[in-house]
Amino acid sequence: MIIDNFAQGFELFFSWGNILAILVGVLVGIVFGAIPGLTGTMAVALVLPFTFSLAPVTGILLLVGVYKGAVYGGSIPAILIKTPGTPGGACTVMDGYPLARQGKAGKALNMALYSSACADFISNLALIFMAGFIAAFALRFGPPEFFALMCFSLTIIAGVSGNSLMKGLASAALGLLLASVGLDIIFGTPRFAFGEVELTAGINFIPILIGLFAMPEIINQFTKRYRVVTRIAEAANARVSWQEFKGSLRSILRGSLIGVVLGAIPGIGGAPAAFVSYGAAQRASKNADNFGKGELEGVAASEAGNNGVCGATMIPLLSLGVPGDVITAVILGAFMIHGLTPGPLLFQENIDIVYAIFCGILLSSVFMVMWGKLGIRVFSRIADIPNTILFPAVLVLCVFGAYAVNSNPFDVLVMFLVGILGFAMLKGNIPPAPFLIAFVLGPMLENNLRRALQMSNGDYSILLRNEITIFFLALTVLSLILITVRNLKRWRRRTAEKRDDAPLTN
Amino acid sequence: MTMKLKEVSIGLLVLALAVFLLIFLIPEGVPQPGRLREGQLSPRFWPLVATSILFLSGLVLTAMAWFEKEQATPSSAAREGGDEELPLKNAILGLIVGFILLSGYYWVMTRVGMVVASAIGIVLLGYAYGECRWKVLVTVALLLPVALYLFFVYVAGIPIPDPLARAVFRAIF
Repeated sequence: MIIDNFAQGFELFFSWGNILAILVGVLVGIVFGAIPGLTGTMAVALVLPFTFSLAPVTGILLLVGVYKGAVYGGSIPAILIKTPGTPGGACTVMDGYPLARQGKAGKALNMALYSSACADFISNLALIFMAGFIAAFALRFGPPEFFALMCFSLTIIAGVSGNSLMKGLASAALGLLLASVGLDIIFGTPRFAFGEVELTAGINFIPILIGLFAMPEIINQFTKRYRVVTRIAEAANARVSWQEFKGSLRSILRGSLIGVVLGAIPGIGGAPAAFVSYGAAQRASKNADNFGKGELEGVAASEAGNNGVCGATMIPLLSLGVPGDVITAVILGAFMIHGLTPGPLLFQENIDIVYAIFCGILLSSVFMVMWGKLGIRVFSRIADIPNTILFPAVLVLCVFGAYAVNSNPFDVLVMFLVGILGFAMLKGNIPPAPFLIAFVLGPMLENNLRRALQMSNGDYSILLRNEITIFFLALTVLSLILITVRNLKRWRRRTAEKRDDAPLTN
Repeated sequence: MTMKLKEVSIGLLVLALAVFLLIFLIPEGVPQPGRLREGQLSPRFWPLVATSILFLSGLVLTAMAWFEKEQATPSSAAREGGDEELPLKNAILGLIVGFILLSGYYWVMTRVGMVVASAIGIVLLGYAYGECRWKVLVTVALLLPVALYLFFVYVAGIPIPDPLARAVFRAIF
């Protein structure tokens, strides 16, 4: 049955127009994703009008190509200039940028590419073979389930807090507070807006992202004298060996599955999936202490989580007609423009179109590797540009990117102010990653908790209403116990080391 | 400043911020609907949760720094390789120059336009960072903002405010 469907789909798919559409789509997506501030949503929305005159399959494949390219493209500036191109790329900064600073930009870019392509491919397979099952599971997620999942996701903060869990918590609290600026989700009353219209609308994610990661480096450069550093010959160091890939394979597979599950749940997106995958990889890795300092497995895990979402967000779209995020909402629009209505009927009436799209989606992973490999040769040279030229150029890129989000200079101001906060955090050794995680997950956690309690008239037992919430809350408690034990052990070890180092006195 | 003093200061700063939030920012900045009792449905609930975490972490940070005899880990600045750290006095001077340049960039950007401000910004920032190859700086300053302007306006369809660039490129295209 499925083979027949594939045969029909392949017949419809196999034309130069369709192949070219994916080829161009992935390239356009990578370019947009690699420019900070230009999101995948923006790229898909911009390309949408070009699809009006194309055949349905060609048009939809062009958009899907752009989407997939943009998700991968976000990792390129994250690794090279510490400025994630897309929200999902934010997690890649944590290990990608330190690797670039160690002269391993090419290696980090290659690992990001391979893990992205693998995760994307696995996600596509999940879309093709498990769409029905995953969609049914995803539909069981209501506010209490979301809340439980977000609680578990927030335990990553401990993993990315470095040596001081307390500083990580303080950083996360600041992120939660900044995320609460804007209108209250239930009452519609302003929070921390102080009468300013721009603050009433809330603070956008992109200026925070750029301000928190790129700006502190730019400001910090004023406190340094530039020194020409001869980097280790990159060419010999750029390839990812089979051993290195194999070492990260478990994290890639785990991250892909996390991406698939979270991607199928409408409204979550790539950034939380990347952080959850990163946290899971860190917990399971032998090199856990090296995470955040330039660990290749960290890059692989975050990119796998981020890209694992891509195919899965199409699951609720194709099987139920429910868009999983803003990009798939735009793609839903494209379906409708071409007279197609995603959902169960699409599988009954236009099965050849569905399978032609599946064929194209599978090919997009191959084109991603192709464009990525070609691009890495050029991109990895960016790491060799001296800071005295690179940082002013990055600043200009950041300003244009922050402005482009809403065409509003206020976002540039927010970026500068968050940059100053990020610089203070850098000097105080306060990790920025918990801030970002809390900023992303905080509103989801709050909204879902309050919605759940609204549903139950304030009865907290709704948070334990089924096996999904119990599973995630139990995982959260278990993680907290493990974190406490690990921190106690670390503290004891440090105290013992200090005692041993202390001079002997009579 | 010793490491211990620095860590105590960070803890106290976090505490001070939490107290400022509790006594001023939350009561003034988060209005409470009249009919609502304090509780989990209140708009203040989440900011209070976050502030409590901030307060507790500030308290523990201060206590840990206060009772710790010596700092186990050096600062990130000391660990970093690459560029050489300036002496404190020069670093502060560098920061002042940096803040003036960034403020100036924003000011010019909102009044003159993004392309012109970015071109001037690249030259001045590059010079402040110690770049002396003027030809390279000027080339980057001219090419990058113009390339970004063209990409954003003509490819991405995002209007970039810059009357001068708009006039020039309208005349060309």
